[in-house]
Amino acid sequence: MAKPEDRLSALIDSIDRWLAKDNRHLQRAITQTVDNEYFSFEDVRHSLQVLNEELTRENLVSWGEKAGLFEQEGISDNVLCLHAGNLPLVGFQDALATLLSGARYTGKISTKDPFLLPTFLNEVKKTDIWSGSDVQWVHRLDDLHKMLCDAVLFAGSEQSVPRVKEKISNLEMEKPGTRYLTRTAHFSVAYLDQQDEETLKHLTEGILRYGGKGCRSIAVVVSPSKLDDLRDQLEEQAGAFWKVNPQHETPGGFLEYRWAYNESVQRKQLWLEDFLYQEEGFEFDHDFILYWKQGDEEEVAELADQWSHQVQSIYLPDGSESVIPGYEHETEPLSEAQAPSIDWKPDGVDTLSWLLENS
Amino acid sequence: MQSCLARIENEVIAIFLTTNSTMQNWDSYIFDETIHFEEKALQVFQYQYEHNEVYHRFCETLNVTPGTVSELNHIPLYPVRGFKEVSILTDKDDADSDVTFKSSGTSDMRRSIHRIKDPEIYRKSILKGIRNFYNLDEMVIWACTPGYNENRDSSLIWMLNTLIEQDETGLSRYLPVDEQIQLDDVKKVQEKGKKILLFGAAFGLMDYLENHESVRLPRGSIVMETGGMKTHRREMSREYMHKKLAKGFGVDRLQVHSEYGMTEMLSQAYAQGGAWFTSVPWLRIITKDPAHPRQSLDHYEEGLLGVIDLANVHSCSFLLTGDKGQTRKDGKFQIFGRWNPDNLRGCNFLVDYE
Repeated sequence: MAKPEDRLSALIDSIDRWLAKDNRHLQRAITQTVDNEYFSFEDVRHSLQVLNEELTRENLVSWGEKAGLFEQEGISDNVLCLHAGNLPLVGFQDALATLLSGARYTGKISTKDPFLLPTFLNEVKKTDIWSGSDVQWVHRLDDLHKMLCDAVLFAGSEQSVPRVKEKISNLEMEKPGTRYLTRTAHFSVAYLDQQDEETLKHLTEGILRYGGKGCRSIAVVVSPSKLDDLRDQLEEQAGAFWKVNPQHETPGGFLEYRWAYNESVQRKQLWLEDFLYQEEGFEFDHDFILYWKQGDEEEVAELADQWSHQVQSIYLPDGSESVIPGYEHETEPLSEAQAPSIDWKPDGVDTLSWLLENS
Repeated sequence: MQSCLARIENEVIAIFLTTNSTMQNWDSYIFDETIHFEEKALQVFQYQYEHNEVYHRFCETLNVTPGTVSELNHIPLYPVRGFKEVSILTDKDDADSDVTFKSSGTSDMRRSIHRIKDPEIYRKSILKGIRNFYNLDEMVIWACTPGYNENRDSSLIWMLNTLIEQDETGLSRYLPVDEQIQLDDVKKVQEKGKKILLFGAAFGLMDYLENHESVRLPRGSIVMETGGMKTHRREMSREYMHKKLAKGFGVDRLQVHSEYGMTEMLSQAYAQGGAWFTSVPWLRIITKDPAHPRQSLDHYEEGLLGVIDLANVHSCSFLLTGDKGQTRKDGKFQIFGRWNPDNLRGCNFLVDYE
């Protein structure tokens, strides 16, 4: 097995080749993704830009150090990554963590994002460290019948997790001791104690990027201000965001229905045609809705406690001095909502550490 | 010319609405089976559009008015969650009833509240409705409803009280949860030449069987489960539960029936030994596309169940439930549990999709 430092260097070389401007394979994958209407060009570009900025040697070394990567040779497990993509390249971190750990990567590529990730994996396979059998992927889970795995990484709703486990078992891919890293958090919360233009711009990006579909997307805002107080600024920011990033997917008639319902119960709301901001009335049964609640830091903590496993991240505006009781060390800058660092922890778990520690 | 026509149209609507709003005998009208359901539903829609301010605001926002509605499918169905947030009453000023139904719920759950302007309509809906399916004169009503008994505002308990009170034999009653059904009591029913119609929430009946010996109810008796299969204690398939109930109460599997009702509805539907429910004549169930709730789905397409319950004439008759189900051409419907949206924010690896 290659040393961790060598794996890391080889991956950096792969990433450099993958993100090179003249990589025709990646360009083709982007075109296919956009042409097939999986994601908008603007969202794909954003996703790649974030990775380009984050995937530096310095950041990867730092992640490796925190995870204890350089303290051991690595693991030889077979890790199955089930990629479910609500946004482009959402499974990239799992694939990278698996490869860094030394494990063999077996991927089920997302049906919603079939082109992008394989272009990176193909670059990895060109290195001396990983052969074809070390890095393999399929587009149908059934094609992995009897492929035994030591660990499974995936994200799902609480309802879907048992069904995924059952499927893995039915496909005879499980062995005694197969471990699962499942993530169920599906939305994020922002505390808005500042209302300057830059903060509202970050907030809007956090809400509307990827059509609000990521688990890092902000679904709930808690603020000392009422929604009505910021109505005009929020509408203006949404318009400015969509001018540059047209929303790829438009909501069905349910959004208009929710709007009419809110009117019927006289709830304050901001109708943005393709998105709806509303005061309270929390019902996380549909996308494209942002919930606004007037409150302070205590309120954020209460809501986060109440929704515990559903909340991915809590954001504070850059420079904010607010402290969320009980979550003092778990908040993230609002500006990073849609630009996470490469070592961010889905559901609070560092994937690389988990792979290394639980092998 | 155009303004003249518009004026005439408005006057016609005004005349109709005046007639409609002054209608005093809604209870006769909605149960009158000589009038087509569609006709009655359109009348009720006009009445509620005009006199139910919550529903009016809802329709108005969707640009739906009596003038744009010519068939049932055009009528917007109001989300039942509204009963948890606001008072949904038609003719608020005229409301003098002290009957209010509340759904059960834990302290941190908001409960649905259904104010009843005219309890006689509910009474009539219960008795006239069930007689469409069962000969009450041949039956004694027993009820096993632990949990519900503690909710004094339960519409189910109100229904069971109504059914028990109509029985003149005095043999109809609630079963004490901690008491075994006595053979003598069963015999008394048999001696009167009657059968038992045993009502109970699914978990209540199952609990009863877990804690007591099996019994054999008189031949032709019915075990009627009223839903509530998913509890904090257990979750099981309907089929499995019915099998257990049949065995435990000594009836044929086909004698285990189901009732569909909810706090927000004043009418019921019954499934008589199968998965398909039949509605009472003044209730119609339709399915709607969850992504586009104004669009009706075809028969056998899975969607959100919509309810048109004319007995709700004084609250809201046009409701969109959170239940998943399908309908068929003869009006029967099936329920598949609560609608769980799959495609929410965040990544969700779905076995069927992926």
